[in-house]
Amino acid sequence: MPVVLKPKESFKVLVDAKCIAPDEFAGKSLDEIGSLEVYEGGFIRKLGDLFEIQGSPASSVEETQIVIEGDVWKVCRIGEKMSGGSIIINGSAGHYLGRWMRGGTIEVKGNVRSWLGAEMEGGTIEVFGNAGSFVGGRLRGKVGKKGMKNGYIIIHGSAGARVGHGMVKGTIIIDGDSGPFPGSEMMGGKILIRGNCEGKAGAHMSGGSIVICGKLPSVLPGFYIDDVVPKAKVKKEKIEGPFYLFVGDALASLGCGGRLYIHKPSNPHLKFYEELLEVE
Amino acid sequence: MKSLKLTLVTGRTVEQGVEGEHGKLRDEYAEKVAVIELDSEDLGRLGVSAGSPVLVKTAHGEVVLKAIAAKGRHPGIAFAPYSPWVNVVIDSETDGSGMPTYKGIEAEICPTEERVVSLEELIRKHYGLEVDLSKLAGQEVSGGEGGEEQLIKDVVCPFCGCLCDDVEVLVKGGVIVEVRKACAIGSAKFLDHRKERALHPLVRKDGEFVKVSLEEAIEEAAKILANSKYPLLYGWSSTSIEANELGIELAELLGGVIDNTTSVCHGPTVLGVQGVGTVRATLGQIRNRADLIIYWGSNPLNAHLRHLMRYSALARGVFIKGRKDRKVVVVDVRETPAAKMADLFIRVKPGQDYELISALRMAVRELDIEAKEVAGVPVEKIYELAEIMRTAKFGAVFFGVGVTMSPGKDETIENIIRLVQDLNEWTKFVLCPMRGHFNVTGACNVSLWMTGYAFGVDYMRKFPRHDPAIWTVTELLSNGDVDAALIVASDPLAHLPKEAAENLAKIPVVVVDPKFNVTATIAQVFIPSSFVGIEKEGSAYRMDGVSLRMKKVVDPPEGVLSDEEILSLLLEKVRELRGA
Amino acid sequence: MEILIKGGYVFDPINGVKGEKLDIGVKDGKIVEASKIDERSAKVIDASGKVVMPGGVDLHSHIAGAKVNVGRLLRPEDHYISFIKAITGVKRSGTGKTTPTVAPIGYKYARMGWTTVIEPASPPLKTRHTHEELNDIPILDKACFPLVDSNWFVLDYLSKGEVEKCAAFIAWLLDAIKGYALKLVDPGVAELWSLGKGYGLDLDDEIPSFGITPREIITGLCKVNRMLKLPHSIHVHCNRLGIPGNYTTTLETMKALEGMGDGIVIHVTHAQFNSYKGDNWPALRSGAPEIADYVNSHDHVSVDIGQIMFGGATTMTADAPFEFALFHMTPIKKWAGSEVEVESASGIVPFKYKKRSVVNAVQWCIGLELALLIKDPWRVIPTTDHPNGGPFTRYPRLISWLMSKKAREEVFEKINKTAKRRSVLPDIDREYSLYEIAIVTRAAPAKLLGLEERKGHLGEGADADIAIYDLDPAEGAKDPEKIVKAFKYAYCTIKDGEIVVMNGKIAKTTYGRTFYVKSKALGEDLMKEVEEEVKQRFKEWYTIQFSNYIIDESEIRYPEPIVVGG
Repeated sequence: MPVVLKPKESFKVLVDAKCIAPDEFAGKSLDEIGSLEVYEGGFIRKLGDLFEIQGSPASSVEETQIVIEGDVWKVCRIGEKMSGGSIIINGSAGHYLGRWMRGGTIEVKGNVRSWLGAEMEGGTIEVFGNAGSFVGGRLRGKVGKKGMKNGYIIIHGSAGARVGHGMVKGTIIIDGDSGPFPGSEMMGGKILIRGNCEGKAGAHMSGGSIVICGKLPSVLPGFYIDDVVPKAKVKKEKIEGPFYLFVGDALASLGCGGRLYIHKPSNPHLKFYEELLEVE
Repeated sequence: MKSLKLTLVTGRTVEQGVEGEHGKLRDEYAEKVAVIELDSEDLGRLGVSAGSPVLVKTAHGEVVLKAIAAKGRHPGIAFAPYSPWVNVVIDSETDGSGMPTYKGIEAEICPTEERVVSLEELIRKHYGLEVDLSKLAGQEVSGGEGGEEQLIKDVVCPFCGCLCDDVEVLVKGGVIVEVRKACAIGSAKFLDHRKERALHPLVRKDGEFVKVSLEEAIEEAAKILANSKYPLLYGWSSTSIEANELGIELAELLGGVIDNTTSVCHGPTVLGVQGVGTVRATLGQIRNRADLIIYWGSNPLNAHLRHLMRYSALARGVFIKGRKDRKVVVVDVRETPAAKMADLFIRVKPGQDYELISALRMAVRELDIEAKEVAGVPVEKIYELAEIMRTAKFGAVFFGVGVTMSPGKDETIENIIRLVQDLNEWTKFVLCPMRGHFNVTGACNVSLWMTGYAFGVDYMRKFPRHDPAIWTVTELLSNGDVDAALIVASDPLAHLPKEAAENLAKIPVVVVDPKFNVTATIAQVFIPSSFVGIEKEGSAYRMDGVSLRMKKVVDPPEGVLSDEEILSLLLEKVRELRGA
Repeated sequence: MEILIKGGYVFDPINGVKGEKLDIGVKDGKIVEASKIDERSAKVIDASGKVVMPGGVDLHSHIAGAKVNVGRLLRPEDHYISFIKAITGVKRSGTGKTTPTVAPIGYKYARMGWTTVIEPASPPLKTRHTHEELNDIPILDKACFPLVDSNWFVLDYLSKGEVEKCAAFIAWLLDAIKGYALKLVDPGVAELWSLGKGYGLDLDDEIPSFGITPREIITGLCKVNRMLKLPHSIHVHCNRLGIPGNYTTTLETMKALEGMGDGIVIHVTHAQFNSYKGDNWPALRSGAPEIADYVNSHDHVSVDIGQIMFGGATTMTADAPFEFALFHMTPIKKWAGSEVEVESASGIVPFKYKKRSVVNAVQWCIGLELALLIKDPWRVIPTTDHPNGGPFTRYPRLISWLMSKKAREEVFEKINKTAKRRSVLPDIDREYSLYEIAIVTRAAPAKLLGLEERKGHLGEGADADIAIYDLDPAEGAKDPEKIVKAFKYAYCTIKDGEIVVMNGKIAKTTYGRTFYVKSKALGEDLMKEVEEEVKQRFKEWYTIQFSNYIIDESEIRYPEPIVVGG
């Protein structure tokens, strides 16, 4: 039996509710869950002040299921640091959803704001709508291997800028289009964009691969054409190409450890790169 | 009907600056800013003559502007000054940076029979609000004329980030009668500070503005803030350090958000530094030593009028005596006035500064570039510029909102900083953001030393948090995340994209400003304030971080308090109401 | 308010009190004889079983100014992890671990029992900014040292042999920008860095633009310092900082000032970074014994150690070429460089000291060796050169290492083993007593700063800046963890007679003074002549007006001029 949260009324201001996570709910009674602390703007409130809470909580994190019925677009930090269990949001969700997540699953029926699964270490996030910027991203100011360390994010709609910024490992799949700079400063892992990309893919990447099935306006100057390959592989799925394979970004590392697969039929304007291949 | 697909770029102009200082609720302001500059070729293709109205459509809205002929050549690009009119078609997407996309927007332009609407009509049409501007008519401050003449020297100009501190102001009695050495906009600010002034606090009662006492206005404003769950305190770049300190204290007390206008000008510059660092120098170091000056996406002749003479291309330095000793390069999407005086002009495709910078970095490092042209620039030209940069003795890049606002935002700035860092392996190279408002650099600095972050600071949990993807004016307003706003020394309704402006109009707003501005039209409470740097002393920071003491040269109008005094009163009242 | 501190073990080295049980009285912000306090109306603090010391004095900690603020700008990630919540009416909020904002700086120092802290590097042109930050730091008294070693006026006068004029310029400058003492950073380097040069600049290398050497700059400014009768000696970050083999440069620098006059004529700051033996980084060894030997046999030098603490740091110094070099050595790829016309330059690079690194482990040994091998505690101050070697908040740990060999041995267990072979630290048995701790953390720095009349002691008339630590000298002083705990959260801190910390928590927010120096040592004619010369060249050299360079006293929250040489 899941714990069901239903907003008592629509939110007027941002709400910080990092307590909405299986790790916080597990083993607690409904009353105890209802008295967990949240911030509604600058005021401390109880979770029960803002949500009707029903259902029966499980004793372990793994068994804990949280269902949110309604729109939580203004509620941030849901599922932060969760290590197991599940959260289903039948609506749209705020930023930092699943930040530092370590395990379990999050499912969102609507859209989500920025920093979905930021710096996550494990688990699965599925979004049926669109996502904002920095899906799986590394927080600002951090450098090196502090980005997404593992886990799986799938967005059935489109995503904003900087998908997988600074990611180290794991997989992000965008069924729709992506904003600019997917895979910026990426060090490892895989990003698949089935739709079009606004551009500037793989900026300063030094490892990992980005597959773009739709249109990409241009390839950054720090990339070199390496090959044309028939297929690309992401999470055991073979994606039909052919793809131009670029390596780079030379500006991040001369080893050009990043791989950029760009769908050839969708990008005729990149044909001139083929000449460079023939020369070799 | 004929129509053209162009790239829309919005930005600062001298007229917009001067008219803004004169007062934004006058018809003259609408006349000067509700315009769009089109290349003569494009005008011809559209079959409209300069002065005719055109309809501008983007994915985000449509608005009628008056077409005028562009001064420099820029076929394919339409340029519009920042204004409430063009905001209607601007995208509120910030890509997680807090910065809306003001530049490089795809737009369709066609001739129209409709006319350019007045500000009142615009507010009615797009924000669904009835405003009666007659209630907000400014007054000319009278009295004080005659009496002793006094020449005040070394006055710091409170207009732009140049913070020219050699201005001379001639005061007769209590009135400024002459301003020397300042630029056109700076002079206008000093000379017109008594015109179109707001002299009485106003509170909206039953939808109508009513003149009230200062006490009542403070009380009403404090109630709005104290009753708010999560207020936004925005503006802060055209006031003193001291006022900023109080603003931050108020935000902390309220558990709200404080953001300064950096988030819609050089926010990406701050974020770029967070990512990779910076290489900066004071303007004197550049004036004295730089033999290469690059203006990138910055337009000193329109936005920082004395910059060239005092600090950069034309300035006389200790080792570099003037223009003849320097190379000047301009990189821009259109041929700006500065481009005409440059040794080399590089026209970059709108929105592709990032690519061009990457290509330059490749060239500086002597790496091959496989494409034949990048961002519309032939690779040979990129290598040429890289060589100019590497062989300079001391190079300086002045970059403006042309770079920070173009798609790519903070990534672009990170890249330009990295370019300059790379160049230091070869020679001396520095960069300096062309900051707009006179104390926007100060607003960032004081915010840093008090909160740890330069802008976009949240106090929800009683300690500072920062994330431009969340706690910046555009993000908060376009998502409807706040329930009240205090606007100090700024005019967001004139500058924010429609989605954000629309939501601002839905919440109670307190405006503190020396003049009635566009935001005042939707305010619940308006409190007039004095001009920092003219009627009130205080500290401000030049674009390079040099702090200067602004002078008080004349008294403020009777009964008008400074931002500092108003904020102190508000703090006291809010403390009382919150029972602290 | 009157306060009576009863029955504590008092450590007051300036007055020779070595842990005796004494009562201390406080009245009108000053220390008074306990007998003058009316116990019935006074606030009585029971200090029995506790240690009472004067408030701590830090003479070198980068807490304010343009460089510190760029450090904050550069490191949002440093601010996510450490914060203080506001309590309305009691304390303000803030963030930052190695680059804290104003509130945590004041509060965290006060919580450790420190009450006076000096910002040691402020480019004069940006000193208004420094003062604006100092104004906003709660509780502490403070001051700042202007950077003068690459100032064109200084270089010009000294290169022409016009030492008197240079002195007049310095006297004018200190008063104009409200500075306290002269700071030299890798003397002369900023001038060379303007041309992209300067890394490794040594004492006798010429700076071509002025035909002057660092040795001449140092000796010249030392003379100036003496002429002006400034309260603190010249404060020198020696040439070749952070370069293996640099201990010889440090020795030469100290030697260059032998015979300059009585007393201490040079303070060598963060000497750890300048006590390196070996030809390169992998071969780094400690040069601390040689430096300590020299200091032990010469009384014209004082030092602070610049201890490194394992963990995160933010390096920031006016030694711009060094920072650029460091940028290439660290995997954290952030570098903020800055240059100030006519005066200075700087660099900032985030850094992490790692236990397993040989270099960092040897650096750790060197700092402690300096503190333990230099015999006279009045001339060696434990600092971390905050935030270069680590944040000042780690002082309690540093104190525990000074006081306990066992604590040092515990660290040796965890760090790179090679360090043990490359240093003499394992063989040093010395352990500081609480009395010595009171000397090195309060009495000595107060004295070196020339503030010993009012700071660093508990005699009658001193400012009532007092720290009470929950530590029993008989039992606790040998247990490193107890030492750390006691110094981390003072039982009580009193600043100017007000209780600002109680039970390790901030009790009240006050704001302290800013000291600056006015020297009247020189004749008015000379001062006027030089001021005219400065005015003349100012327009050509600077981009601001002469009059706007000058900082008025009204811009400082609580200005406190120290008049000397009159």
